[in-house]
This record gives sequence, structure tokens and C-alpha cells, in this order.
Amino acid sequence: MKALHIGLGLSVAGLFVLSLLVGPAGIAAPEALSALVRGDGQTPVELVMREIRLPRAILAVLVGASLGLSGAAMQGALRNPLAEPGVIGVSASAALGAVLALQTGLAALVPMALPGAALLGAAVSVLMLHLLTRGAGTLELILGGVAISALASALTALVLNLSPNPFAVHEILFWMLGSLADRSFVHVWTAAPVMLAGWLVLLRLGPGLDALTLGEDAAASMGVDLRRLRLGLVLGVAASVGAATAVAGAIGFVGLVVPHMLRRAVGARPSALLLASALGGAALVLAADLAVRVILPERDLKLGVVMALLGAPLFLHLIRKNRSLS
Amino acid sequence: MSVFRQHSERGMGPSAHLSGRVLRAGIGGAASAAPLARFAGGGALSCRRHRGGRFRAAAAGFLALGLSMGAAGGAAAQAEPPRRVVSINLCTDQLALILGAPGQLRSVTALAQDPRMSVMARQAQALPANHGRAEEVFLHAPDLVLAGSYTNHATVDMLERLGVPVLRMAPATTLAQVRERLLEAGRALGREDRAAEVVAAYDRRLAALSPPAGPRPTAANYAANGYAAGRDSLSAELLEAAGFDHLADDLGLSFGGFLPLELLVMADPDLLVLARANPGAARAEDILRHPALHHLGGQQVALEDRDWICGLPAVLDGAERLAALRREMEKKPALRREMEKKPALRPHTDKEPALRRNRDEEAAR
Repeated sequence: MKALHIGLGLSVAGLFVLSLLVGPAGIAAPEALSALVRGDGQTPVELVMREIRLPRAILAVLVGASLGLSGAAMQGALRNPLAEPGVIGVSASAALGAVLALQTGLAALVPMALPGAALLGAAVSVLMLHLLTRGAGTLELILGGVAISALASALTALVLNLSPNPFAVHEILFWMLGSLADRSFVHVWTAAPVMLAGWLVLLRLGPGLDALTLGEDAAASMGVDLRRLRLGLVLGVAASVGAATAVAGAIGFVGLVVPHMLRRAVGARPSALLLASALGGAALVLAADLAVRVILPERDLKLGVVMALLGAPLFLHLIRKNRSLS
Repeated sequence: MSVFRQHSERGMGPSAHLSGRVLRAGIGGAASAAPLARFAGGGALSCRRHRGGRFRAAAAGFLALGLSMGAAGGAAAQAEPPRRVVSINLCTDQLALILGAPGQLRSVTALAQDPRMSVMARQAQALPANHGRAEEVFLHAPDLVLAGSYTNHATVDMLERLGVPVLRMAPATTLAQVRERLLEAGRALGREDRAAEVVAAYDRRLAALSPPAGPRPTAANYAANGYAAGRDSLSAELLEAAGFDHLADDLGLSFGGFLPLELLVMADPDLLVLARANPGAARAEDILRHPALHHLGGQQVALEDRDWICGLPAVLDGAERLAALRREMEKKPALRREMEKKPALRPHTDKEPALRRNRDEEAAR
């Protein structure tokens, strides 16, 4: 287990450095890395490294970890391998909250209103889903998620269509597929505190999730406060996914792919899966963000495209497996 | 039925637009009467083609008009000027507002009334607005519709089918084309004298720009989504006329394109002309507020879209501001030395506080 965490951590570190070295400016690696630490940050190379590439790489780590962790926690708590923020509409609802905060001008007036509104959007959708599908099977969860996702996406598109800004309409794509292009430290500072708070809540759910594998009654008899666990899940997922979506748009499938790939390696223990999925999510989003920059450097290919190419086949495979089991 | 078939045949290929009822941009002076006569005839034709009762009344109006115009345009060199002009493009709106006779222009687009997009918003607000939809335009019963060459084709085709003459004007992408468009719109509106007056004033102002000789500082313009206008754009020519070299030129952007922020920062231009952000939020415009731009050494100005979105004499307002900036740069010896050194990358440690102040004032305005 330790080895797995170390391995994942090393791959995150490696991809992070690689992410700093890829960009249209074509700065040589030694010069690029030394520009990160030396000088007063005023020369063009230092500006590119510190103000453009560094925040992008940091955001990839934060967003990936948030999504991976949230996916693992949701799958554990709902005991359903298809639960994932993107699939069940949490990301779309967070995007709606963020778009509302931006278009009403609230985000510019009140500090932290942007991640706050996204958190609220995400929390509402998790709560709705929880109430709708309590004790129900996979099918209801997915159907409910599809409905919430469609509704939130439609409202997001509506709000953007009503915006006085002529560019806002084109943002629909960003909010549905996500991108890290040209994000700055402003976005890092906006999202990081909320995301970190969400992580803390989610990481503490571990023991409760382990007990829950035995069923709700067994977990309750073991002294797990199920209401507290659900509250923690809602708040933790809402904070991490909300803040991540507020700055990077809705990036799907990370929370689905990563826990699935790592589940066997951690012995299917939900508590162990949490940290591993956070690291795995960070590595996956870093790699995907590298891929969009290497494949189509000029086009700002959306992250969601790469993730869906990886995630959708897996999703179909899981559904098939689910059906053959039942 | 025949209307539609004929229309679809006409719709093939670019040269098709030269026939029928479309007045094309750039037709010479001698030819100006002939197309008018032709579209007058088209109006009459359309009346015969429309069998449905709904359009009969309107078509009858066009018949009358067509006959009168046909009579006027027959032998005389001077065709009767249009009396009910509707414009459905922001740039032709403003051209018509500059050149049109009182009462000649009946409606302009809602865009022209927006002070962020239009330099003639006040004048435009006195007229009823349209949104470029065929139905509302048709209800004005225009005898000439001014459209851009990129105006929605479905709308323009529909208007032509209804027998409304449409003049499609290509956007001006050079300072010389600004003159041409003025003269062209003047001819179409029967206001050649007014157009000649406006062009003469424009030429005088253009000649007065006269940037200082010597090394030229580099300027770049940068807009939402990281769009930089290229060498063959009006904004590039304006920068050039104001005495700047255009960065897009060095980077090989001919028509303009998306310039990665990294490359802009690395090129570190002496002047960065930023588009002013629109109201309401858009992620596309976040890039104009990116912290990396704040740390750049060069001077920065914000220009409104309206200053150069259309090829109007008003583009010289922007050019004059830029030329003033250029002359000011000339006075700063430190900057001058830097310009003479002119490698692509140079440290910006010894920038003068005066320049910074100037930039802040610009931003505040």
C-alpha cells in the first residue's frame, strides 16, 4: 500500500515537472526550471514560467485530486461503482452555480463567491440525488443523475445565452467539458482553500466507509453515525467538486476511471482508496492536460474530451458488468 | 416554385451574386445607374412571381417603385436615390448615418445603438432598431437594404426573394478601403457629394498622422480568447500608420489568429493594445486580465471595439491616440535606446515611472 502511494506520488511529481516544460514558447528545460526560482519574476521567461505554466500545473493537481477523491468517496458511500461527480450531475450543477455567480456579477463583488456558489450548486444536486435514490439501485441513481445533469446544463446554457457579453455563449463548451488553458494564480487562490477543506472532510470519512461495506445496519451497529457520514459526503464532495468546477469547468469521468483502476491495488478498501484516488486523479488530469497541449497546441482542446475518450468505454464496460451480475 | 428554383441556381458560385437583384460592392461609377435599373426591374419581376395573396400588396408597392425607378434609370446617368433605406449591419449602419440625407435612413441595427459597439450610437438611437431579421426589415418597405458581405445569407436571400434590393458591402480591411466604402455607400445612397466631402476630411486627417522617423516600436493587439489581429487587418494598418511595427507580422499571423499568452509574453511588445472587456462575465476575456500581462514591461492601452470594428473615418480617432503615444515614446530617451537595441527579449528593469503612470491613466479612463 505504501509502495502504491509512493509510486502514485512520484508519477504526480514527474507529470507536474513535465507539465511545466511543455508550452508554445519553447523554453529549454534548464532555463525554464531555473526561471521558476531565480530572478525577480520580471523577465519574459520568468513571467511565462511563474504566471502562466505554474498555476496551470498546480490547478491540474488540485482539480484532479478533488475529482478522484470525490469519486472514490461517492462510490464508497453510495456503494455503487458508477457514482461519479460528472456522471450524476454534480459537476454540471456546480457549473451552473459558478455561471450564475459570474453572470450576476456576484463573483466580482464578493470574494470567494465564485467557489461558494459552485459549492452550493453541487451540494443541492448531491442532496437531491441522495433523497431521490435512497435505497434505490444503480439504474435510479444514473437516471436521476442524467436528469439533474441535463437540467443543470440546460440552465447553464440559458444563463449564458442571456448574458450581455457576446463571448459568453461560447463558454457553454468550457462549462461542459472543462479546460485549464490560461488559468492564473487568481484562480488557484480562489479555488484552493475550498478544495482543501473538502479534501479534509472526505479523507476523514474513511473508517465509516469501510464499515459501510458490510451494509448500513451493520455499520450503524458498529457505531458509525450514518447521518454524519452522509452530511460529510455531501459537504466534502460539494466543496471539492464545486471549487474545481468553478475554475476549470466540468471535467467528467475522472472520479469514475481512477477509483476503478486503483480498487484492486488497495484491496477494495474504501478508506485506502481515498488517498490513492486523490493521487491518481491528480496524475490523470496532469496527463490529460499535457495531452491536450501536445496533440493540438493551438486549439485549446477541452479536457473533458480526453477524459470522455478514456472514461466512456470504461463506463459502458461497467454497466455491462453490472447487468451480467444482476 | 420558379422563384425558388431560380434562386437556388443563382446561389451557386460567387459570381452568381453579380446578377439578379444584388448590388455588389466595388462596382465602378459608370455602372452605378445600371444595377439600380436592374433591381428596379427585379422588383417588378418579383411582383409577377408572387402568386400568394399575402405579398400582393407589398409587391404592388414595389411594382410602382420599380416602374418609377426604371423610368428614371433608363437613359439618364443619375438614378433616383433610394428613399427608404434600411441597414442590417453595424458597419453599413454607421456609413449610412454619416452619409445619408435626412429621413433617408429608416432603420439601423440594435448594435449601432450600443455605445460600446458603435461610434454613432447617439444618432442611431433616434431611429427604429432592427435585429437583422428579414421580416422586420421587410415591414419597413425599404427600397434599399444595406448589408455586410457576411450578413446572414438566409436573411439576405429571403429579402431578395421578396424583391427587396440589397447592397452587400465587404468590410474594409485597409485604410484605402475605408475611402472606397465611403464612396461606394455614397453612390448607392445618391449622396456622392457628401461622400466626397467626408473622404476629403478623412484624407487630410490620415496625412496628418505622420509618425516620427527612426526605429519603430513593436505593438500588438490582443483581444478575447487571445485573438490577435494579423498583418492584413485594419487594426494592423492603423498601428502602422501610427508609427508602430506590428507584432503579428513578426510572428507570421497574416489574417490574425489566436496568439498563445506565452508567446505574447515572450515577445514582450513595446505597446500592447488590449480590447476593452464587455459587461457580463466571459472566460474568453479573463485573458485580458491575466496577471502575466500586468507584469509586462511595455506600455498598455485599452481601445474600445467600436474604435476599429468598422472601417469608418472614426478609426482615425484611435490612430491619432496611438500616434500621440508613439510621439511620447520618442521623447523618452531610455525607451529609445531600448528600441534601438531591439533584440526580441530584453530585461525591463529600468522602465520609467512616467510610462507606468501613463499606462495607469489609460487604464483608469
